[in-house]
Amino acid sequence: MAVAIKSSPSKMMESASKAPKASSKQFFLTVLLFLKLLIFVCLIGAATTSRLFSVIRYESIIHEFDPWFNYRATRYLVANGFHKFLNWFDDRTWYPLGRVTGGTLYPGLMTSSGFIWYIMNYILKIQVDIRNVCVLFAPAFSGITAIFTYLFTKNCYNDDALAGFLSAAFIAIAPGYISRSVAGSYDNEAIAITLLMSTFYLWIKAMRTGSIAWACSAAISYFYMVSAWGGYVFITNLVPLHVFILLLMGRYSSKLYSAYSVWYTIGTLASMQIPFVGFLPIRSNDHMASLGVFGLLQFFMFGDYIKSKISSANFKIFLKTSVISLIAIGVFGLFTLTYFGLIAPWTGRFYSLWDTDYAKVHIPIIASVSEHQPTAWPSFFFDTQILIWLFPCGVFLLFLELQDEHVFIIAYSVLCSYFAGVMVRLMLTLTPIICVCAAIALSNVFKYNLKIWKSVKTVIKNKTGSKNNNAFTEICSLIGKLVTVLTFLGYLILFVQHCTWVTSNAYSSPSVVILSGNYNEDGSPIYIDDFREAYSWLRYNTADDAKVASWWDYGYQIGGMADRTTLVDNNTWNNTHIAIVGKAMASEESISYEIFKDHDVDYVLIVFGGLLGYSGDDINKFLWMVRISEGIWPDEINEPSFFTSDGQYRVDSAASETMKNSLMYKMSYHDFPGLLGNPTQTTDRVRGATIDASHVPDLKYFEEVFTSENWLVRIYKLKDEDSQGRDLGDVYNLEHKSGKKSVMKKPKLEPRVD
Amino acid sequence: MSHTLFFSKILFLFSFLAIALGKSVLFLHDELNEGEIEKYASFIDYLSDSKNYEITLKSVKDESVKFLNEDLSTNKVDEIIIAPVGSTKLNNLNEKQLMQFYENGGNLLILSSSSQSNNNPVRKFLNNLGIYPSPKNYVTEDFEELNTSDLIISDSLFLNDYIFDNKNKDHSISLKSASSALIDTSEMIFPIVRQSDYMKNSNKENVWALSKQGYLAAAFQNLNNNRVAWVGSDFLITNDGINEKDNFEFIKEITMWAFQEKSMLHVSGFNHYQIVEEQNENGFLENEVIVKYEEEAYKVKDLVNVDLFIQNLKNIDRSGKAVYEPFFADDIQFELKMIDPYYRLDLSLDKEDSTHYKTGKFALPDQHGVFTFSIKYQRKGLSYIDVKDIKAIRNLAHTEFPRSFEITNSWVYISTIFSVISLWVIFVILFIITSRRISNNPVNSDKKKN
Repeated sequence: MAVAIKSSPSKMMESASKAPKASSKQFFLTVLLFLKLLIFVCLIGAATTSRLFSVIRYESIIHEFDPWFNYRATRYLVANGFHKFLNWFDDRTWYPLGRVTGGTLYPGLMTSSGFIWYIMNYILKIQVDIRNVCVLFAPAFSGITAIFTYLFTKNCYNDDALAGFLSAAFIAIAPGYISRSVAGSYDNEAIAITLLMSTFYLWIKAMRTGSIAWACSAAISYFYMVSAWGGYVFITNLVPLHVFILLLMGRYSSKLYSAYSVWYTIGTLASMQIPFVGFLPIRSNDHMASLGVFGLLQFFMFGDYIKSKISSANFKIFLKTSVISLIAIGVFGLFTLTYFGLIAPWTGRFYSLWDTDYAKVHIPIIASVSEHQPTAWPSFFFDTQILIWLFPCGVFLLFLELQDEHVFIIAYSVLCSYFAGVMVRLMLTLTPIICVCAAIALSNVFKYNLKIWKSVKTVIKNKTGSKNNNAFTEICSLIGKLVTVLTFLGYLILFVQHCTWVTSNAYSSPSVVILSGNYNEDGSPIYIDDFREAYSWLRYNTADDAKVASWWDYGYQIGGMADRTTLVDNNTWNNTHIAIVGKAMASEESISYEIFKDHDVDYVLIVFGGLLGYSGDDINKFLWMVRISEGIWPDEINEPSFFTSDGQYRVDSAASETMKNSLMYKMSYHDFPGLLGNPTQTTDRVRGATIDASHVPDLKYFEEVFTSENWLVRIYKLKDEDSQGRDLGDVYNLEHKSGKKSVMKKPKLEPRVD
Repeated sequence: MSHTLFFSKILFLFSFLAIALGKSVLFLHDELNEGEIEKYASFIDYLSDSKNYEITLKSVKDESVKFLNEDLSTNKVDEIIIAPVGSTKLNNLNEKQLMQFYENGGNLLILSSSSQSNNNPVRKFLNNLGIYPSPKNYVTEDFEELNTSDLIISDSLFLNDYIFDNKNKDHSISLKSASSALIDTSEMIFPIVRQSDYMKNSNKENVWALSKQGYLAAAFQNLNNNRVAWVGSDFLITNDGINEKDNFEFIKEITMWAFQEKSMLHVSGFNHYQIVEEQNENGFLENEVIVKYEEEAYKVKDLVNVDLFIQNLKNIDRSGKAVYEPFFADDIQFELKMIDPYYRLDLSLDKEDSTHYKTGKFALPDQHGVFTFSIKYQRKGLSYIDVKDIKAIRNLAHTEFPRSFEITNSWVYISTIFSVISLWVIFVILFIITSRRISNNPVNSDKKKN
């Protein structure tokens, strides 16, 4: 403080001396600053409010599947403190294995929202429910993303503030990013994109300045990113790739050296502090590129030093021998380390990035996730609209200049374009760079064409000077500029409209509550709230320690909303355990019953869309259950046996016997025929199949205990074991036997061993 | 209104009286007139006088036979004794009612004879349980000495000491015109008396059960420990037969067993707790502290002890009070399982307390998960013990591992780290000291400012 007071008078005196000239300039700067701030406020406002559609349309609720787990974990953190959270052993999931949740999650998201909640409640004394913090977390962070995108673009592209603002505006409302960050979408990605942009910004800053301080900040930001999302591997590979390309281009500099070395060492050491990451950075192949580049950089530094000491002819010999030996040692080392298992081999998700069919054949559990499917190309246009065709223009412009930081953007865009084509979910990481490149392209368009005032001036001047020839070209160019600017303005308006429409219609549904599309008499929409109806039934009607089996999709929701123990959930860490549930669903009732009894299951929950026409139901996912369990028990589960003889997947009379006798089929269609008028037949509206009562075998080991209003969720209870030790199927047959046997026949009995 | 009130009061008093009298027992028989039940008189007298039961005699054909309440899930009487049924058409009694009565917690003592009808609900009920008594007119005969249907049962033909104690092999009973049963392999069926090697159950043309195949008495106990005892001849309870040999002793024990008055294992406690060993400075065991799961959840490799307190029901005296005796066994096992068993440990009897079985101190497996602590003890003739407790065993928290400097192996690495750091610091200092001083160039500084 003392220093500040001392120094300010001298500064004031300095400025006072230049007062007459500076005042107008200073005023101009103040206005500029004010306008900039205003733009930021507007951007943040736009980013936040457009993400609130989901709260307005529906309510303040956590969305989808994974957010329910994050929400549950956050509540645990808030209730038990960080130490317990870090060592959390969750005995209510993956029964009976349990999950070392504290050591197998990325704690960044929960700790961030827990921190915000703590500050609001205990320091600012604003009473806020943790649920609302979680719901509004993603919109709040999207505003910060916009700021970092501005900084990133500005730093990457010749300090062009216009490009920065455009990119910030784009990222604020681009549907590709909104899809993962609407209010209620409380997922790792919500915070990860912010951190992705901040890390990249700080890296560019560090690389340009060579400053250790910026490199440290980049490393800290990287650490935060590692703590928040598994996608941090993208940064771990992109930054070394950038450095590697620069090295290949012969652009080694001491700035690059200090920036990368500092970032890598601090970043890696910091990332190893996350329990879930642990020793991966030095053991997994995914991280080897960054280590390799780190080593390479040291050799470059050494070579640079040698170069300054010896003659160039000698240096060439030195270079040749060292490069060849380095490559040999590197390749040999990688192979041996992988062979001896010191470096973990590539993970399945990694392979499926290169070969889209790999997962389908080898790891059905990865292929079964809809997010991991290859992207359908219209979705590029759907998610980014005009930006998608401005994107290559921006990349082209960058190629023209090709400064060090431009190389980064080019590497980023090329890599991510490929990844986004392979997996739908990676659309998310592509969106920021699309926004940046499109902004660069547009900024160039505007930079030239917006200088209308000048041309208007010259036109007027020329008129008075009566030089017709020049005036005509000026007018032409003026019209040309106006047309271009207006066209692009029109595009931008369309873009905003498109974004708003997509956000409000496609990406704001919580998927826990569904709009039926019909309206009440008073005009209010009718909601389909079957999921919560079923989960609250479980919550209030079953024992606290009841175990609920369902396909893994619903695990997190059951844990979060019904608060009951589940067998498998969306954290698909144990393929065998999931296969067990799949086998039980695909097997005959008596086998399923045994499997479920072994796992102490009390209730089985399935989702059935046949009545409503909800296509994401369990019968449509059924083949994945079959495939996943077939991977473990090929002798017992056989996929072709679930198809008709001509290889069709049918549920009506043509369905195969195995299909009809599977537990999933029986549970889905139990009592379904005869529901709508016709006493023996009902049409399944998802598959357009007519289900006849005679196709659906009786349930002998399970009894229906709950079916939601629209039959979306059905819950079955395992019948108690017969207290006389008889097989439940026999008991059922005995009770439903028609006609009396009166013949006294000698029973055929096995010899008894006592 | 007042009438009904008065009536209910009477009923209330009556029910009190009934409790004082002991259990209510329905005796079903298939005799036309009252006079013919006289043949069971001394058995019935024994039940009502010595055992203090409240006996209701009813014919199976009687329309008023009802042992289930209106809601079907509770019983009107505690136990049922069924004498041989010869009739076929019984409108008011079917096997489902009997099964319901049994599942509701009632016990049955069923007696047959060779003249029992083929198509009757009692037989169907038994068939459902896996006991198949021989059809009408099939008689069990002994071919050892004489071709006779008067059977003498002794020695090793008594199969279950918990039901009828014949450890000393000094008991024998006599049966007449008996039927034999085939039984299936269910573990819940306890054979009581089997045919000798020379016995055969047949109707002269067809054989039902030959020698060891056939059983003259068998019992069934379901998972709720409700019991059914079946005896192949009603000679045991007739006035003539009851006093022959040890018949009275036998039927007395069977009745007691069937009506849950003996061989019931009573679990008065099942618990487990952690034992925390406190060591003194020299590493010697100093003190053991007991910590319950509720106080602190188990983690891997904790030391734990499991206790089971059991007693065996010996008798119920006239006042209805249970008399217990210690139960000695060396085959009770504790099982710790998570789908598959991780441990199976024998329980041993505590030296001071004869009801107290314990595993002793053992270490939990080095595997986190939700484990089932269970003791399942199912022996023929005894009531089943199936107690379990599902508890989570957590992993070690990050603060519960030994610190790096406590592990002697790590000293190599720790010293390496610190020596590298200190060498680096020394190197930097030396580098700074030994470098040549470079004077600041004014041109350079100007460049920097720009």
